[in-house]
Amino acid sequence: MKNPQLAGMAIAIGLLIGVPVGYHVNSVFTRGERALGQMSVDAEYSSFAILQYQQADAQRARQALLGFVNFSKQIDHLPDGQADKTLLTDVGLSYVRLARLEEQAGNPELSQQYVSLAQDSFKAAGRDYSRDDLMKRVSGL
Amino acid sequence: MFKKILLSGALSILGVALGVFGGWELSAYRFARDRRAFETVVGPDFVNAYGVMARLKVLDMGTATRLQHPKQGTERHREYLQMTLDAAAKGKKEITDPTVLTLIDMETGVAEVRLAMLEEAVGNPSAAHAWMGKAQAAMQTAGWKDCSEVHLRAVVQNMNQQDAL
Repeated sequence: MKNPQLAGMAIAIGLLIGVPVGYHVNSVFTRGERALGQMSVDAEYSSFAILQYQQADAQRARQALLGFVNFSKQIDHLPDGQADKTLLTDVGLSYVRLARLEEQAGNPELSQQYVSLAQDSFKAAGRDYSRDDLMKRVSGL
Repeated sequence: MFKKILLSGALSILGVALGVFGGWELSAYRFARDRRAFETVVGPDFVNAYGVMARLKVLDMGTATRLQHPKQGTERHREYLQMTLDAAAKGKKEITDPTVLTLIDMETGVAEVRLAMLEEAVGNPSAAHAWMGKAQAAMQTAGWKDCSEVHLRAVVQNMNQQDAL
């Protein structure tokens, strides 16, 4: 090409279009991959905690439920990661299960604390349950 | 004139290709930097546990789906379940968190119950018995109260239905 200015402009226009497209496509892929990974891990840990609550002895059940609750707090540190409504609901239910375990173990004060934490978690998920509602769940779950 | 337009078009396409590559790399660099920051905050244990749990969930869903739709045959099912056991064994070496180690024990036990049911279905009672024994040991390690064969079968059958895609 005899006119280097024209050649430079053609490449520059190409770059102007290409850079945002490449950046956007990679961001979409990476965010999708991360979201899928987070969903898988949430589901894996949550199912494990429920199964341990249903099948294991009280100590192991407690360990699994608390492990899941602590894990959900770490999720907030994930880039783009945040506790979504499903995770917050699962955390709320885990606190309800912990409350029930403590009630059965004769620790009413700790049970009450877990009910309060469950209430907070459900509230963050957009569900406002009264203490009485949750206490009914504690005895029925 | 026509040649000039053609060449400009070709150079623009080259620019777009270079731009897409550059943009992609720029975004990859940004996400890699975010990931390093995340790993610094949560620590390597959490990162390892996260990776192991993600792998196990994907394998679990894949296995449950294949077992519910048995078109691929016993050999493929066996291979897939062996992949779960391998991933669990590999995960155990990477993890120090006792709760996640219990999760791996449970996943191991579930895969072994599935293998026991598979071997029984194809008429290998001795292999089925051996897998069930291993599953019972794994579930005992996970702290399960009822490790009877009947109970483990019922739980895993329920999981096969729930986890299948």
